[in-house]
Amino acid sequence: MMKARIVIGLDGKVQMVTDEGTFEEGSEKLERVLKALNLEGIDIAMTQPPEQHRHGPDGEHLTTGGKSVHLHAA
Amino acid sequence: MPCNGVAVVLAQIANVDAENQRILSEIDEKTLDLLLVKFMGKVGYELEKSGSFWSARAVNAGALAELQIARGDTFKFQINNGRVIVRGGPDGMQDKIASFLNLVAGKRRQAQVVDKLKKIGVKVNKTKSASNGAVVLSVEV
Repeated sequence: MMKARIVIGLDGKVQMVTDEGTFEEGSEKLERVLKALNLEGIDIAMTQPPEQHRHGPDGEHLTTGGKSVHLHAA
Repeated sequence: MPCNGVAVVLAQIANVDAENQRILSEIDEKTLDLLLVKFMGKVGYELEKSGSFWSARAVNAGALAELQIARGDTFKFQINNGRVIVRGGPDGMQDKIASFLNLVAGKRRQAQVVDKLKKIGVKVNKTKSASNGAVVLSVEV
């Protein structure tokens, strides 16, 4: 089992974040959760490909999604 | 502190408006009536139901100052299949009640998703509410 956080908005937006393991493992697990929810009758889909979210040595957020890389200050 | 290797997935539940209507239509009448009476009481109105129509009478002029209501002002409204139809109310009242209904539906949807997560084997360790109404779960997947 992998520790994660799931945020469910009142507007139907859902954010899922793994707190440990690798990006690949986390993405796979979270995608599996979405598929399982679909099978349970929750019509939910990803709005963008999984991203990798990291903190750099100075505390800045580094977010990598697909081929694009975003850098924004903490 | 570095924390690498974190995966983020953003998702959206489809057709939220239609879902809200469906969820609201599934709430039993007594429960929805009680929620409406409580909400309208908070915003300054007393409610009386006749058939499927509610009569609302302002009892606290200050509670809805932004809607410019005065004590004794009345209007009628009806909830039909999760949609509110206001007759004669102050400007903004339709939106106010609709927002409240969306809040009720949204909270129920959150509870349904949490139940489904548990059903599919996600271990929910901790649940808290964010200031924007979101439910934040600490889980194991």
